[in-house]
Amino acid sequence: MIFTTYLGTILHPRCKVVAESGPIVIGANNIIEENAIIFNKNTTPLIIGNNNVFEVGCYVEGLGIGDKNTIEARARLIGTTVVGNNCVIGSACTTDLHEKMDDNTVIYGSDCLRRKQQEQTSAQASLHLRHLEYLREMLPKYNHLKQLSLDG
Amino acid sequence: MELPVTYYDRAEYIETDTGNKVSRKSVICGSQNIILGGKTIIQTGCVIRGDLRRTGGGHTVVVAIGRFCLLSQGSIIRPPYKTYKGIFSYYPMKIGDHVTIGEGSIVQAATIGSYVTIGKNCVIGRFAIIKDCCCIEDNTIIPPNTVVPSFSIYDGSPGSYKDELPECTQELYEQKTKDYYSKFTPRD
Repeated sequence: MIFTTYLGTILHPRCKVVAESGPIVIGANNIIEENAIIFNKNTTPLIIGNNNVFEVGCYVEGLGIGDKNTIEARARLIGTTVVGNNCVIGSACTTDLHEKMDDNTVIYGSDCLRRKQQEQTSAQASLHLRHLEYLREMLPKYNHLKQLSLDG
Repeated sequence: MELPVTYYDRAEYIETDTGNKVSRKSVICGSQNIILGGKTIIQTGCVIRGDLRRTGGGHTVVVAIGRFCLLSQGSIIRPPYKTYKGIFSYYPMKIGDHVTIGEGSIVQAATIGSYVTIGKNCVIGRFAIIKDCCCIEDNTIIPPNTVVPSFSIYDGSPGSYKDELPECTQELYEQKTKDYYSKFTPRD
């Protein structure tokens, strides 16, 4: 199936984007780290917003993801989860099967507890921007780039 | 504690002059920035990110791993990042001698001391410091910036102090890693 990404998203080596039954649309300025898996089992498109971070070894399914979210290392988004904006899914945490996560939700700890966090500060936004800048400069020096067709 | 002999496919592993055994099925980025101390085993599916180096010129070491270490299948070693005085950078990671990292563990620590055992499927957060002679149990999540003191056992999510290790830990772990290395033999 079709996998589309907008300009500015960084995919690290060994991450997987599998559009099995429906398309996956990834917005701009996301970071997808190694061994992360983004999987679409549904026929509806999986639409991912902008400025998200998918950390090492996370697994993402679901119906849609907003902007500025952090999916931490080995977190799992399963079933038909819908994620809002500025959410954090902590390390090794899992969402419920049919969860609809509101904006600014944080899932944390061994029992996958939930709480709200503040709106994103400018410091966090600038960290993400600088991270992107760094990776854009550094990754091509050490890795072979695969040319994607950019007609999407 | 006697370990069984572990066999591996001779064609899969590269053995260096210093006795490091590195799987061809692992992903090593920026290998010029990685130092292996010798007699270290890197198994199938490991990822070591030597390309994420500190900003600024000159030759830098990104990942330094000591002697007799074991990186089990699917473990990931990547240096930690932060912004300091407005400059974003990844920072070097140092791993001591006789360190075992279990299957599927993700390590973004600043330092790991010597004689450390990390279990399966652990996540070691950014800039965590693990001192000498520690044990991190399976499935533990060590949050960023944690300092794990010597002779402690950590487990849970977020990882917390659970128990104390005996004084002979150093000898035990040294024996264990040497034993594993000597029994990691090619199948012919």
